[in-house]
Amino acid sequence: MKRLRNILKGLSLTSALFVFQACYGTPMPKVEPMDEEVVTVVEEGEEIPEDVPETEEAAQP
Amino acid sequence: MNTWLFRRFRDAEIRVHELNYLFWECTTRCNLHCRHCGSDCSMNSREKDMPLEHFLQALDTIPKKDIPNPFTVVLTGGEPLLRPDITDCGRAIRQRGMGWSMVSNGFFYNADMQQKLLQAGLGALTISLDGLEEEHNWLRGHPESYSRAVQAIGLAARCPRIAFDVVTCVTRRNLAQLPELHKLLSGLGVPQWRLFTVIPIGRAAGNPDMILTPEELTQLMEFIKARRKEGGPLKTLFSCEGFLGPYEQVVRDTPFFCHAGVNIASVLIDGRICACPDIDRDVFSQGSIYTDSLWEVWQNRFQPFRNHDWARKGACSTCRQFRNCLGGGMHNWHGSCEGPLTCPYHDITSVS
Repeated sequence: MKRLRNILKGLSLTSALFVFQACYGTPMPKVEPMDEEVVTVVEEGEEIPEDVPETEEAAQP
Repeated sequence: MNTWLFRRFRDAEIRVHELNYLFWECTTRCNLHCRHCGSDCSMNSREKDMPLEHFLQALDTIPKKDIPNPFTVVLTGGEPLLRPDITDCGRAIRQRGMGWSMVSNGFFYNADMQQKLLQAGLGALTISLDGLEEEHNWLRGHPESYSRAVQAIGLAARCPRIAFDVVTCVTRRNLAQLPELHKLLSGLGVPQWRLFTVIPIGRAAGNPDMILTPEELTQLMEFIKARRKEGGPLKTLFSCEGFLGPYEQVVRDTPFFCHAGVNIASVLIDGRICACPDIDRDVFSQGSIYTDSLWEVWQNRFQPFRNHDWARKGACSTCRQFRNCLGGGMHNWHGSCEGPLTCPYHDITSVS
């Protein structure tokens, strides 16, 4: 049953059936790789926003 | 879609019952005091915010191999942005390979906050807007709630990394404002607008004037039908709160199917395990993360959500649509569950 379901889920015509939204919930999230999410380009002279982890390279003198 | 085929699909989904949508009621504190709040939240909530570690321990009972793609944790409340550790919460969820999203009133959602949330992996967001300025502020009990919500909506709508929508709780007072709201949201670039009605639970139970008459509900259906026929970038739809008879697949994309307990679970503020947070937790909670494994509970309990035979009561006992409706949304059954609180199918067909 699960295998058949996964095949159906993979087909674009039917996948809309599987992507539901709860009455008081949100749409299904767009999920991007975590490494893309934490990389923020900071212009020279601009303050680094809080919560942006420093890379090892940036931490080196 | 053919209704017979859809019922087969629905029954198969119930048998498989894949958990892929988990609400976390991370706080019941709220900066607003909405007249229609289904949760009766307030700034001075008696419940303390659930510590992140407690939730993560529950989340970690789900075996990695059983985490489907997509899987989302929806942070809800209360107002989730009142949690000072909101980004830590999101990041911890994302680090487990899951998506996360949030339902917010938008009051504290500004450019700085959006940046922080994106860095923590926020993937979807829903903001509520319940009318034009005067109406929204009246309903939400704060003179700035409208301007702050509109500002937040404009910001989120321009962010391509978030699956975003706006929800409007349609009442007798704001029904006539829907065309103006449609224009406003279109202008802000909102991709999707979901409309739902008030269920008489929580604080809303004391405000029956907000509940649409059958004629008004039909008017709402016609409004959505017309917007969908027009097309355009703002997708308008009715939420999945009940079976709509002649409006099924006209005002939303797929036929009615309450996924509560089939794909949806929740961890409530006090640790109880249930499905959508607006479902009567005293009646339908299935366990607690403090005494049970979330995953074991999901696998072995939730029978009332997966077999609705118990709902053949009251108006549902003789209804010929029961096989399509299964008693409507689970949030429609409260207390002694003698019958559903509302029945949109009944209301609509009584008019037509």
